[in-house]
Amino acid sequence: MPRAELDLLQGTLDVLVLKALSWGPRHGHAVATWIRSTTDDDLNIEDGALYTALHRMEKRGLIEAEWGLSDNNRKAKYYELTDAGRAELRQETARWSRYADAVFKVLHATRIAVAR
Amino acid sequence: MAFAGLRRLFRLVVRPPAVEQEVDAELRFHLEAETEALVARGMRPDAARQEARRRFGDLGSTREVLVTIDKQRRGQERRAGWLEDLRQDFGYALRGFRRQPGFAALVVATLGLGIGANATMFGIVDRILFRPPAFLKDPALSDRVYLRYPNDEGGERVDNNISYHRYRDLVAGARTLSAGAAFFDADRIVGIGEPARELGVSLVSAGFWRMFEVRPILGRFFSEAEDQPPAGTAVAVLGYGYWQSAYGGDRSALGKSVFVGARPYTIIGVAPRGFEGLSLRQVSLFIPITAGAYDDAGDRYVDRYGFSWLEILLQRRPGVSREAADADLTLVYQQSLAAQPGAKPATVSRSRVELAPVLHDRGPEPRGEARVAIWLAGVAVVVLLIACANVANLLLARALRRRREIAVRLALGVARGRLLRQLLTESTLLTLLGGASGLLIAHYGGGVLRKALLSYVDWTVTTLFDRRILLFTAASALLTGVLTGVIPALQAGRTEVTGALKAGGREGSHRTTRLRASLLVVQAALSVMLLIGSGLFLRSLRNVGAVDLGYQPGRLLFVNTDFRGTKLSPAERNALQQRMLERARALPGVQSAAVTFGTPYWASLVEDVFVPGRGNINSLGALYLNRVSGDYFTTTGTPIVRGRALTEADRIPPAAAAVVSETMARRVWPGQEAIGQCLKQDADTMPCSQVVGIAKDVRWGSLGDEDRMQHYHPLPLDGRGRIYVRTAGDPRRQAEPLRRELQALVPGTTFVTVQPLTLTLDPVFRPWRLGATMFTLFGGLALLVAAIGLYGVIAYSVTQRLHEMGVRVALGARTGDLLRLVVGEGIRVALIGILLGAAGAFMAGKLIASLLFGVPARDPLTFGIVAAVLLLVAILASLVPAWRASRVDPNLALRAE
Repeated sequence: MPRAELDLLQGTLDVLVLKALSWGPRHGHAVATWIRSTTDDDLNIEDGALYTALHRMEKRGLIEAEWGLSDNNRKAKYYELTDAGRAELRQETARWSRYADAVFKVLHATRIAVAR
Repeated sequence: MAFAGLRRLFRLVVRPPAVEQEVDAELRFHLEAETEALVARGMRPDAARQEARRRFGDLGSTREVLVTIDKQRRGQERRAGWLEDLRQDFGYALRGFRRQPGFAALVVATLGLGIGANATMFGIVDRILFRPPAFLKDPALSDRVYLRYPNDEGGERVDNNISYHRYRDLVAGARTLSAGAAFFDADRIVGIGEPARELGVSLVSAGFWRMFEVRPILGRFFSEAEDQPPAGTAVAVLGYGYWQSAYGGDRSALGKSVFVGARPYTIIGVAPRGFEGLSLRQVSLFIPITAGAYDDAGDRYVDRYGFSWLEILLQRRPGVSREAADADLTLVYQQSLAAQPGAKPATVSRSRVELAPVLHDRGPEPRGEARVAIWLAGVAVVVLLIACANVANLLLARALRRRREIAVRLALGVARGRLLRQLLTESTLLTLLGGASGLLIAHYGGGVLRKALLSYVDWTVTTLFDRRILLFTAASALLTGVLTGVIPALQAGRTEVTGALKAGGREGSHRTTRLRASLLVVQAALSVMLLIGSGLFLRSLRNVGAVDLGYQPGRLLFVNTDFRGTKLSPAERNALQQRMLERARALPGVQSAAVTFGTPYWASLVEDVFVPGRGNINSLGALYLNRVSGDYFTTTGTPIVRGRALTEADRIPPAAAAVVSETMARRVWPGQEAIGQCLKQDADTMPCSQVVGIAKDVRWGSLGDEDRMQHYHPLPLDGRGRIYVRTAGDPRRQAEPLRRELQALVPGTTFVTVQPLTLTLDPVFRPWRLGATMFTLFGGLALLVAAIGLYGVIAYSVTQRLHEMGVRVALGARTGDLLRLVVGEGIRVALIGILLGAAGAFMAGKLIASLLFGVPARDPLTFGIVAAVLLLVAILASLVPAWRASRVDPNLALRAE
């Protein structure tokens, strides 16, 4: 896989996961379900990639994990944003918005720019 | 007890579950939850399970990736946690020291002294015994050559002075060698006129350079062609230090001419910094050995076997053991001996070659100072052990005082391992500080010590901040940290939470007191050993000082005149000597002056002596001859026991008078009057010399030289010798004025040196003086440290037992009873220490005996005095706390609970 595409994917996935956790601790399955339902399954993300993102961000200190009990009383690993993770989410959201705006402007351009 | 502590040290911490299990559990949960969600939406269970797996992607490789990431994370966390703990421990320790600066200072000072002494002694011992000479190609294959051969008295002589002829035979005949070279460290007068100085000059063969991994930093080294007997070529290679000091490191020194001894040498190269060959001194110049020998002896040195002076450095072929090379060289040596005219087969077969390490003091003839230095290195280790015991004791006392604090922290859930680490951090920090102060002590105090111990070594080569010394110091500091920290830490780790938290908690302190007492016993025992050593050396030194040499060296100067090739006729030379003698006598502060042939510890002459009717009397033993001018006996201070001294008039032929020593008179003419007897020198046909006086015995060759047969004859009018001068005051102050006066009289390049005789005798006394000073210093230090330790322990146990004392007083114990009780404790410790220490000294005695003079290693008087001193110190150290205990107010002590 070309490197640029991977980076884009990874960065995108990270920010989605951070967003998924921004309402409080969730286990991996809940994160996957939330992303899938929110995007109407358009992004077609494999769950394996999601877990990789979770663990990588845990290592970077963006999220913390703790074992807890799931709704139906089973042991599950819950992830929670750290302060660093919250800051990362803010920064990445801003970057993504700018990026998306820029791409949108180009794709909906109505005239040719003239070089002076 | 110690085992339980050790187990605790190594006990496993409860670990979190393995990373793999965690990842599996998480994935299992995910797949199950997903399957359930799909089933809930109406899928059949096995189809749902399949769909969940599909949505997950590659389960196996994802699992691998997750495990890897988590392992890395765990590692990061562990390291961060460890660093954090360490930071905390250090902060905690530093806060503790700030609260008790006196305690920290005492510990750091004690350890600093111990480690400093060791760093210094290591530097010294390393230089003379372990560090191979700089640049030497293969130290493990390199050897110094010694010859062993039977001497006249039926014993054996070890000799590393070898003749040039023998050197050529050995190196040419040997088959086990890859290289061989000759060298000789000499003092030569370098330069002319006022700037002329006596400097260290190495005479080396051309092959010497090839045995080192060394290149000249300027010019070149000399070649075989320049090192051909008899006269060689007068070329010189400068030592780096001399090039810097005399030529300012200027490249134009090349090609210049420098006067060495009797003739000018052309400078052809400069050796790199730190290159001294095998010498431990600073070498100013290297010259071809043939050229140097020719200057001294003409071509006589080339083929005379009896002309023994140089040393040999060899390199064995790879794989050849020292023993194999010994055998090979011995064979060559014996062949060489057998080819000599007049060789005795018995002597030849008992002569052999012995190879020894290149470091001289590791060979068969170590210098006295080197042997003492090795002992002192051992002593330094003992001092460090004492310091360790004392610091351990101090830390222990501190740990005991903090028992309650530690118990509280244990109760609050601090892991014992963590606590242990904290205590170890504390002691390690202390010893590191101690190590740093030790380096400073070694730097400032050690410089003096190094010069005093081994004055012949050039210490500028190794600085204190040498890698080996730093490594050694760091290692000993860390080891000390563990040694001193581990016992108190284990003790603290044992703390019983409930017991210590109970009010008053006295119980359990008895065992630790016993531990502290055993540490004290160790200290006392080691101190006793050191003090006995110091006592023995002090008595040796006193014995050495009390030896009647038969002459008084205190106010004697001797003059040496080196003509350096200046040609004078015999008549001119006599006239010059006479002029110098008269000038010396005329100088204020000079009492008398004389000319003599021999010099104590320097030059002696043995010749055959004949007595009419009995022929050659040399079967009685060696007969030492000296030729002296008038005034000799008054100048050196050798008393004439009977008869008269030799006078100037005796020097004028045909007068023939002689003076003999008491021992000689007694042995040669037993039961007869020696005065008036006839002696013939050299041959039976010589005219009689009539004995006119008997002089006191002199110790001229060595201190043990007590029954030396010495005879004195008048110096012939054209005879030469050294001028001896007796001064009225301190000879050192007279030396320089006298030298200047005499130097002004001599012609050409002639060089005059004036030296106090004590300087020549000093090396004879130095080993004992050193031993006495250093053992006393270290022993005193050890005693002081032990006394402080004893005081601390007794004082502590008194505080612990205040309650008991109160009860005793309440029950009617008197002051005397309490004093006896407490002081008795100190005496018990001291007595055990004395017994153990005396036993140790008794066993070590055999090793040290050869270093002593006139006192047995197991001298009862020394042992007794040391025991008394230690007992006295123990009583004094326990008297203060005992007195305090006796003043306990029973009401207060009992109410304190």
